[in-house]
Amino acid sequence: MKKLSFILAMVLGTGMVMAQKTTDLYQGGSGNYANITQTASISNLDINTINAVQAGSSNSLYTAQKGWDNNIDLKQTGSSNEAAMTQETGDLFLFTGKNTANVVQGGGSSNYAKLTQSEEAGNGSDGFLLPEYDRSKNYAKATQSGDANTYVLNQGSQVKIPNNESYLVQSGNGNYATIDQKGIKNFSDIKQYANNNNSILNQTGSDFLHTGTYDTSYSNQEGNNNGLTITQTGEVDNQLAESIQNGTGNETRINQVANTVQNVKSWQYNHDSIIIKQVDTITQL
Amino acid sequence: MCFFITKFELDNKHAFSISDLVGSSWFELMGLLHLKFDAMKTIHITGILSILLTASSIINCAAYEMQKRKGHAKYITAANQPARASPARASPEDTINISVLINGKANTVIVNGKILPTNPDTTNQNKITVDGEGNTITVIQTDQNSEVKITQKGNNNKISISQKNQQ
Repeated sequence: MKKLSFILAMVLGTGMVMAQKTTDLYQGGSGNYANITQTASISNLDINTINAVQAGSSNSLYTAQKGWDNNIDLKQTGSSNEAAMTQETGDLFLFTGKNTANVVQGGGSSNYAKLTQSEEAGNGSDGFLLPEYDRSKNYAKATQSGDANTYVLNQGSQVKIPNNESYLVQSGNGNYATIDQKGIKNFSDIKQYANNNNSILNQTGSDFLHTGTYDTSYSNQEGNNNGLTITQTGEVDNQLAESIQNGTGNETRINQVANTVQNVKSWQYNHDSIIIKQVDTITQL
Repeated sequence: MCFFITKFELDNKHAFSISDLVGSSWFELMGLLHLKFDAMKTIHITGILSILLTASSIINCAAYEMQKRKGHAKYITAANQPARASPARASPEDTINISVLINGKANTVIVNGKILPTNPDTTNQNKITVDGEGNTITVIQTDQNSEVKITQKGNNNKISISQKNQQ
């Protein structure tokens, strides 16, 4: 409601135009290809939505969204599917919209999904003599089931303002995930079930007002020979890395670099290893 | 199949225009319907009576199908088709490329005989359905509010959708 009121105020106050762009796509079969682009001019507050289903194997989907709010809901069933998605909120002075993605790849193996969420490149200033910043709010939820799946997520292009949230579930063997979050608030929840899975998480924040950034990570790996690497880097940063590994031959590496609050909570069972490194940037000076 | 009209539009070598086929010349003269091709062989469909084009297309397609079943379809012959695989090796209906620029409301583009109902409202609702293999669809929408629904059944199909505001 608050957001709606704000958008309405923007429309009335600046003459900007709200528009909606929606694509509903279903492709059944194998070897299908889809390229979807949704863009808005800078004076428009577009709400972009893509609902896509690709049922079959060896399908590929490429999307690029640029607008006030960008939404994508993708479901790919089968094996060897590929999805590459880019979402950019509009560069509208001090304000921004939200990028939201929900990706499901299941029923097969060797699927690949890459998602990039940020604010579009601006013209060098956010108005009122303020420098240009990425002010995006990003939300991503991904579920991959099967073996040898890959998930790549990049949220935020600058470390100061973006608010990032990520949820990932991978079920199967040999899955791989790399998540990179840049912003003032970074949140990640990773769950991997089965064996030989690997996750790499990087959370980086920098608060120019020095009121504190937040890097939060929850990870749960159930199975054998899984690997987890978490790096949290900030200035005035509240960092929490909480991890669970249940199996044999698992390894966790946690690196935290900040000058305020650093917390690691880890539970490991059987023959697992954990390496934790915490660097207080104040004592380093 | 019912892709006939679209296929005909793509082939600029034909001596007569699509408006002759669908009987829409009068509407064109009245400024109510506009059809033209650009250098990329893209179909431009505008005007408030563009829905009539769709209806006419359906009727023509049905007529063509009937003639085809009787063995004397008169609009498309082997002689005036562009070079492509012979029907014995591959069905030409399964390997056509269509580029459609839709500018209007409640248009329906039909390929291979599938028809989807339209629900006109304040926003544009364009729908495309393709059955077959190796089809390519390109949709460009430049309306403030745009919506496209596409279903492709079969293998090796391609779709390219661009929704952007008119600059």
